[in-house]
Amino acid sequence: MKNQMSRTLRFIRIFSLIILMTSPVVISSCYVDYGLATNNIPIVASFFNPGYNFNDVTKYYFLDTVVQINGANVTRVYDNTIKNTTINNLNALGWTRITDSSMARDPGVVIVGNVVTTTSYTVTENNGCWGGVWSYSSCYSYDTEYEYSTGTIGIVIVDVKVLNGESLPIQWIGLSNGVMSSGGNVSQKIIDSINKAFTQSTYL
Amino acid sequence: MKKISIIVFLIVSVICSEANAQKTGKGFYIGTFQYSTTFNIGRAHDYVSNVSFWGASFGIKKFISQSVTVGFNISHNVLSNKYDDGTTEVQNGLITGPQARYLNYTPMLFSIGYVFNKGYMVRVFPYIQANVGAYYIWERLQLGANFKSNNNLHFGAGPEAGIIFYIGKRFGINVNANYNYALGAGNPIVGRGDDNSFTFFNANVGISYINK
Repeated sequence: MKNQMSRTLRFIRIFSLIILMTSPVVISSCYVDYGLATNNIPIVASFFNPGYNFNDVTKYYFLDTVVQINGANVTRVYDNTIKNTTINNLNALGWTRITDSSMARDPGVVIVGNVVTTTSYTVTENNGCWGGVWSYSSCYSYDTEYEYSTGTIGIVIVDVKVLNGESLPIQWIGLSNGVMSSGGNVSQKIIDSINKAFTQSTYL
Repeated sequence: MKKISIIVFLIVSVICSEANAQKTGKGFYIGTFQYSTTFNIGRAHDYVSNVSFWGASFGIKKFISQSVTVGFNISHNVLSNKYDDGTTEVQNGLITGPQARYLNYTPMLFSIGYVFNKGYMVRVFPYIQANVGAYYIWERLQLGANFKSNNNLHFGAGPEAGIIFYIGKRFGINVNANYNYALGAGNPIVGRGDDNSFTFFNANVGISYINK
């Protein structure tokens, strides 16, 4: 009887120890998932070469074709919106547009172009936590597949006087990325996001 | 209010009961399971400013002398922030728009501590402790439909102070706080510098089991 009680107590101790040790692992399987709602977009990113002095720029040569990269096949309906909004922002910087490409190597001149591309995503969720207090709890396994395509608009600034060997480094790039099927006024979204790319780049 | 007063009275009564004294010393061990909250500090706070109320830790320590303990702790803390129109600085750039930031800490720490147990039967065990070991830190930055993740194992350390209130039957209530500094490892997911260190503070409450 005493031995049996001792064995039971030993089992309870070991069982408790296992529960305690695995608890952090179980809890770690839960995390807040803010989801991939299409209202979470677009985002606007801007990157620059810190070694380039944008204060020296006074003129720009604008490439009049929106280039589709990475095999994208995007409607041309918004090309004029993209180009006109970019030009408006460049002019607002106080830069003067030149149309003679032979002047692109002159001091203070940069070349500006627009690019667009698309990326298709497939996200499979097979575990997670949903609902409940603090959006945790109810951790379970399920299979849900999200399919969506994002479109990216890029505004690129290069300076042909600054070469890195054979390549032409980008001095500034503004990117707007969003889900293409999210609806709404697409033209206005394009205008707002290009404006934002310039607004957040105060060094231009 | 009356209900709370009764509960507090009962807890105090149990803690203060003479019958609930416990001896500790060389050969004893203390196992602890705790609910853990996290407060980011400094650079980590810039990344996720929300206080985390989601975390747990498990620890065990053994007395190697009358008052000195050595042990091991493992914890997990989950933090996150969502910004409807946030700004994230990255190397040579800026990203704005709706975004979410996630941060999970998993410290795995060895400890050496000192328990103020006076060498006889006591009901309250204050202790101080130094923790040192590895911090597994997972970061995720959601930018619209895009994700960027970072996993790194950091070396780190920090002090801890706490009190165990003995409640009888070899069990006690453990209240403690610990500071954590995880040294830089890998590249930062955000920010314009090279610093990828993390500093945070935990406030914990849990159950301790004391035995020999």
